[in-house]
Amino acid sequence: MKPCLILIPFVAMNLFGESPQSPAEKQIDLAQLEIQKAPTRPSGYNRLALAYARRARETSDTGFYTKGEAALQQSFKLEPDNLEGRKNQAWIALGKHEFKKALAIAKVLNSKAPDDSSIYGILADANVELGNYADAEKAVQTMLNLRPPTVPSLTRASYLRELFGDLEGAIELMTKAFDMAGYDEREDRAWMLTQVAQLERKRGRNAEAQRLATEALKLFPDYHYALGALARINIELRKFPEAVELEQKRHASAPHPENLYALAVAQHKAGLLKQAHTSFQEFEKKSLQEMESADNSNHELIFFYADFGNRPVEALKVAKLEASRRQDVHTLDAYAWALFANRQYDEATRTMEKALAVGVKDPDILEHARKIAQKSAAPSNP
Amino acid sequence: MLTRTGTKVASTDPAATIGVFGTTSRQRVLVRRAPLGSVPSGSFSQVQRMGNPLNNELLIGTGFKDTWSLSQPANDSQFASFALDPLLARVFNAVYGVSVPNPPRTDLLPLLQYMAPIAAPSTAPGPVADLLRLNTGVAPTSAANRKRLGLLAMDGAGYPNGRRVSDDVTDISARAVAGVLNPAFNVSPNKFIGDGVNTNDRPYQETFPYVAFANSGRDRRHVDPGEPGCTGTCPTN
Repeated sequence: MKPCLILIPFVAMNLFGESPQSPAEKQIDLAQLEIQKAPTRPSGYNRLALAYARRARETSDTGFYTKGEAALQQSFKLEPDNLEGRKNQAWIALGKHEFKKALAIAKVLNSKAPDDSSIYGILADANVELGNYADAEKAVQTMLNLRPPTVPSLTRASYLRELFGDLEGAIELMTKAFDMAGYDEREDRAWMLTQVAQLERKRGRNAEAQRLATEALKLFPDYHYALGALARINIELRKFPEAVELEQKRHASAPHPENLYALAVAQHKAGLLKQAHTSFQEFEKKSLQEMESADNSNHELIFFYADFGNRPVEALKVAKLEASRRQDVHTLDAYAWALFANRQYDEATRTMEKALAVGVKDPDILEHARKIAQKSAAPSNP
Repeated sequence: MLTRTGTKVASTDPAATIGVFGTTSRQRVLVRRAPLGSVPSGSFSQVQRMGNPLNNELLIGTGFKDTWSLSQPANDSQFASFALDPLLARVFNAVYGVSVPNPPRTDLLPLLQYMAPIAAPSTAPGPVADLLRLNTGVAPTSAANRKRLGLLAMDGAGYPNGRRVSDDVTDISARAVAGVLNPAFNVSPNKFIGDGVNTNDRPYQETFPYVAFANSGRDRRHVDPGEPGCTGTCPTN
């Protein structure tokens, strides 16, 4: 499962301190209890579906989405087309990266219940992932206007600020959201700490980023998002063996192709070329298998072909496929990079300009933009 | 004087009736901070409003309550269908078998337009808008003669002609929704609908803060029914 900035809404807070169960596991138990007590009401099944979606994010195991969908089937049998069930269907679609489907469901729900703040959250998430940033901004601002700021509205506003290049403002809102989150919501709090860590890294404050990512791991041990963030910070700090170790842990915890790619890159940077070669080979094989599905690792596959595999034609092929599905900054960046690898500098420049238009200041994207601009400006474009 | 003419006029004058509403606003959080966006950080945005009491709670449909709270009375025609076919009236009918007027409920329009019995008959009704209407030409009723049910009890200075702290707006609004503004429906049980709370344990005051002072948190103990000392209207003190 590819990292996604979708924040599944809080279901309830445990006020009785921490327990060995994760927040999502507790919710699964509570939902099953509710189903036992009221098996003819859809609410228990809806709650179970949402809890499974949260568990999917906690563990990176997409199998939980399938379980969530099964719970929703029961819910719809009891009450066809019920609002909460449809909302959870959209959440699961987002989790599975079926963004167009999620957007279509959310639009219908929004017309039925224009006051429902969480539906604006779905609209925002789907539009962000598809690159419809104006629509996403409108949805998030509506969330912020409808209710006093909440964790779901603040985290989304934070991500938009990040995309618009306001890293400091993004940290401000994500920190506010963190302070607002329930103490026992360990995974949510770890996720927010990880986000702030990534933001600090992006603005060059690696020591602070490292501290925050480490805190996130204390809060939610072996958390795959935090392991990835910390590994990336270690790469910035040129601590490559540490990065390899963290990526290995992350891949063991969440064995997805994109995590394998990150491991391969870390191994490559650490000079472990033989291991990196094996990891890249395995990554390519697995990534190709999911290339046509919604939840894929096509961005990484593009970068692999362009940067390590020396196969620019394949990079462009995958990039075109992905760009036909979504036009978010990361897809446009990958597309521009594939064009650059194929020496199509003018088209690469145009695509990169489109990516940068939103205001994004991600160092990786800016580095690509710099290289593309350099070649584009060269008299002969060699 | 708050009237359109700036002078005090007779209750029969169209200029006598005013419409007012209040709003609550809070500081906004913006996706774009200044100077990145066009809207400066820290501006206030409306989150609630009130004209007639309970308009949002009793009339506006679920799913539109926040939209209503964020909007202006000038744009209330979009919510007219809720007032003309209130869900609460259907609940009265379905749950309690109360016979209520059929929609469209034009009998409720005096609450949403400048119409008799609040405004003078010659007053232009204006658009549908949730404003608290007050005929400033109607003299206040003395405390001794004030009626809990305001205009419904023929106390012309009471709600829905303005709103006094002692007006039982819950009972008045519920009865209005049940149709009592239409004489054909001003019958039992419609005209007896209420929440059962008709008196206060302490009287209102004639000066600020108008409501009774709060009970002491230090020198008071709640006396439960059946306890020694609990007689009459207890638990009171």
